[in-house]
Amino acid sequence: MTNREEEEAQYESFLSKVRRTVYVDELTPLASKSVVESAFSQFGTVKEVIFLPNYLGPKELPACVLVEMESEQKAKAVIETVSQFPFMVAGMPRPVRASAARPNMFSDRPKKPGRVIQFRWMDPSDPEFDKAQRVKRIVKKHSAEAAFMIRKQLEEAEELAKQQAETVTTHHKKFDLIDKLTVEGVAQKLAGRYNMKCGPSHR
Amino acid sequence: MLQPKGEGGEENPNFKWGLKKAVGRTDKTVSFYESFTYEDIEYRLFDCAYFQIQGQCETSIGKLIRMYETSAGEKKVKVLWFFRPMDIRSYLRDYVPQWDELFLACGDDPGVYNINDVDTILGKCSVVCLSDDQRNPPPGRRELRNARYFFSRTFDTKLKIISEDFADAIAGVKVQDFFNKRMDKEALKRLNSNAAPVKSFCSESRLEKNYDRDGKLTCKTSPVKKELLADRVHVKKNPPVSAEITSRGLKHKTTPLGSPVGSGSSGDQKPFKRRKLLLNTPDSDCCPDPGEKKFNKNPPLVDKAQSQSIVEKARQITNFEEELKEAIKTERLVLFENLEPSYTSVEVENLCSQALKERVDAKMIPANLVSNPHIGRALVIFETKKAAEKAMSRLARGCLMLDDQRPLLGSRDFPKEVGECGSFTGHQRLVDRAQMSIEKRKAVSTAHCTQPNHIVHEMAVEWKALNAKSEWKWTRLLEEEAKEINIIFRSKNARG
Repeated sequence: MTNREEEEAQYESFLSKVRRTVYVDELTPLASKSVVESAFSQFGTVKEVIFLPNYLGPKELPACVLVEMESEQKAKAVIETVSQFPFMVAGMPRPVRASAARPNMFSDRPKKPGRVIQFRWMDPSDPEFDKAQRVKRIVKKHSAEAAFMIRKQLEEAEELAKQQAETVTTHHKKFDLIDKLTVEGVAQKLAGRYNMKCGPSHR
Repeated sequence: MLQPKGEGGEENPNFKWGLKKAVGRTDKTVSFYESFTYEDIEYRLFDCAYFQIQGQCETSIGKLIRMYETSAGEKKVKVLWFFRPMDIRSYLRDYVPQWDELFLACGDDPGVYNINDVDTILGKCSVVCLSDDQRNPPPGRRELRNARYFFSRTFDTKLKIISEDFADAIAGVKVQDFFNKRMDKEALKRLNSNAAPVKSFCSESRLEKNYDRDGKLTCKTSPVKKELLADRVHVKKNPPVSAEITSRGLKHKTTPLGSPVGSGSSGDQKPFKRRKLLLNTPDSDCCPDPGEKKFNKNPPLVDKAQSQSIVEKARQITNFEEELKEAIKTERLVLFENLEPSYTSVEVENLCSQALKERVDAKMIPANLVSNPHIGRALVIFETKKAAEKAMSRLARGCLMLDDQRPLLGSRDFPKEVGECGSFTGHQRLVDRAQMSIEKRKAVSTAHCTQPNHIVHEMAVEWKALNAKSEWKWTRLLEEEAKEINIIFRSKNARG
């Protein structure tokens, strides 16, 4: 009986840890632990940073990380700020995304107190067998759908990135041009050549 | 020298007290000793020994912190316990113990130490302390080589935490006595000891005798330990002789001053010769207990490198990802789907050992926002390729129903290798790095919120919009999926 109580106490302390923790994704996989730590220490003391492993790929998937703050309020503040304002970690312009952590995100979570897993083997003669096979097929379909979604999302991200890169280069070119005109005196030269008045510098 | 005649128990010709230390302060009839000889092995104060506990497969290891004889002639030892990682498995948290690591009991709770009869001792055990504590003299090469176990942390039975700090005194004994002995002191003691000639290492015949006795011996163990063990009944079902001993097989032979008992078990009363055979069998066909799995991952230590490797091992953390790569290469990996998402890795391991009768290494894949929250997935590494294939075909042909009507799905549909990501989509160099001032570069590397008047802000908002869109898509998809599952369940209930 005391054993059960201990388990429950342990689980409870785990849950409070979960409540203190912020789940952050859309993070570059290149970010290191210290980068994440320094990024979120702006909000308060960071107690722990756990990177969620990307076991099954694809490798382009943004990294996910669990950031444990000192208190629940701090965690809430982080989520609020990060979801309100675009927050960049280790790169621009793609911001990170934050939400409350869930117990299932922790790979070293303790088991739910008092739970015993029940199982039974079904053979084809079982009346439910057919249904079970159908559920299996559907689950298979669902994981295929999830994989497709992930791929699609990556494509969309890719597209947006490309589009933004284009915008940036055009902007850059434009600003470059303006820069040349004003700083290097091209405008004045041309104005002089065509006998025209130019800009505030002549005034 | 006293040669007491036990009134409670029969007289034991194998027992002899060593140097007398003192008599009891309150009760003058109690005499304390510094050493004794039992079955040709000399035990000194603060030696470690194996103890047999009735109803438990594993022996317990404890430190003798007091030895005395009562007025009734009972020979008693006060034992401070070590915990094996198994014993405190649920309190390890993120600490990954070594297979030969022990934890010193401490705290105020009962169960840190016990008074036991001398004849519950099975044999001597060499335990070395690898703590960085200043009070702990570093172990000698010889000690390290002969060590069967090491400890560098304590386990507080009251607070249930593992700690690197050692209190000044544990169970009324100053902490220095728990650390490694200073060499000169040791030598002096040896000279002073006026015990009869002692064989400090033992022959096979003695071992045999010891094992035959196993079943009869009883011992009071720490109640805490019992309690900790209580929730892992499966451990007792499978006598864990094999894995542990097998991995130590080599050590048995190379250790010249080895302690006599590997791991006595009450469930296993085979004589030593049989045991020796067991030592040479491969791991795969024994012990299906998932808790024991760590043992055979560490190859037996080679004598020469041992002193270093123990220290190294104390620091090193086992890397699951390395293991995973290896398992994919040897085709021992199976992906389990449709688990209840809140299952833990250990629960999946237990499930496999019960339902599939296979010893596996499992890891739940942590959920994230781009995964289905209703489907738990786990990576399961089997011992052999054959075992993995067998499990796959069983899961495909038959159907393993988990508690809330979830048929388990096994698949091998995973990428061969997940490489490192070179660059990250969506992070770009806004201008040429070379032209950028150092200040600006710093700004990129440190985290910040964007300013609304900056072009980056505009782009970041675009990303946010994309995120919101994909979040919405996920919710829609999950809704649809939940509906599909529900339809099946409903028709199921209707018929059932």
